Amino acid sequence: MSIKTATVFLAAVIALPTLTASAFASSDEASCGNAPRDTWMSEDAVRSHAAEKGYKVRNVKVEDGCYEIYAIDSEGRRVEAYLNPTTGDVVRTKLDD
Amino acid sequence: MQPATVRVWDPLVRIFHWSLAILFFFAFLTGDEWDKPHEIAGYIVGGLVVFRILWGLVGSRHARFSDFVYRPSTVIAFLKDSLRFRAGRYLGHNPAGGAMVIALLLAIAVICVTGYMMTLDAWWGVEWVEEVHEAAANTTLVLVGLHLLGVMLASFEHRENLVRAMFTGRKRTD
Repeated sequence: MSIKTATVFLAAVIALPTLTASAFASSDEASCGNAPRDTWMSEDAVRSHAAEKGYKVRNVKVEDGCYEIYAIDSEGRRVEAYLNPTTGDVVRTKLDD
Repeated sequence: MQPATVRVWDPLVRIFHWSLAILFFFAFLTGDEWDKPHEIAGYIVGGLVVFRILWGLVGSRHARFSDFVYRPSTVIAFLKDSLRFRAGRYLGHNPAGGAMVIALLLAIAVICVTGYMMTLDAWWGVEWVEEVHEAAANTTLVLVGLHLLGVMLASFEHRENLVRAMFTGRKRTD
C-alpha cells in the first residue's frame, strides 16, 4: 500500500476508539445519586458496609459519583464494586476474570 | 532518476514497530473503560517487547542493539548537534533514536508487568501497582511525543522521509 493509504489507515485505527470512547464511559451517577460530598458516609463506613456483604476490601476510591472498591468477594473472585455513597448499596460489580 | 536505496529495516522490525504503535494507543485509550480488549492488547504488547529484545540480539544488522546503543555522552553530543542542525546522518537509529528505543522498551515493559500484576490476587487493589502502571503509560505517551519530534527533526535535517522508510524499509544510500 502507498504511504498515503497507510497513513489514512493508521489515522482511522487511532480515531475509532477515540471517537467511541465516550460510549464506553460508565454512567453510574443515577444509581449513586447526586448527594453532595459532605453527606457521604466515610471511607471507613463504606469499608464496613462492604465487609458486611462478604467483601474483603483492598482499596477504596471515588469514581463517577460512587465509591469504588477493589475487593475479593465471598467466592474468592477479584471484583470492582461500585457503592452508593449515602446508602452503601452495591449498584454495580465488575469481575476481573 | 531515483537515488540508489538500501534496505535498512527488515520486515519484522517494521511489523513490530507499527503493531506496537497501534496497540499502545488502543490500550491507552481503553484503560479502565473496556477491560478485556485492554488486557488482550497488553498481552500482545508484552509478546512484542519480548520479541524485540530477542531480535535486538540476533536480528538483522540495524535491528541489533549493538548497532544503535551508544554511551550517554554520545547521545547528548548528538542531541546538541541536532539542535544546531549539524548532526550526522545514520542509516540505522541515530544515538538519540537508539536511546529512545531503550527508553520505550523499558517503559512499556513496566506497563506490561504492572498490568499483569493487577490480574493476580496478591496485587489486586494494591494502589502503588496501579499508580506505577498509569505513570509508566503517561511517561510512554511523552516519550512517543518526543519520538515523533525527533523523527520529524531528523527527516528535515537530512531531507528524507523517515516515516516512509519505516514502511518500505529502504533509505537513500548516501
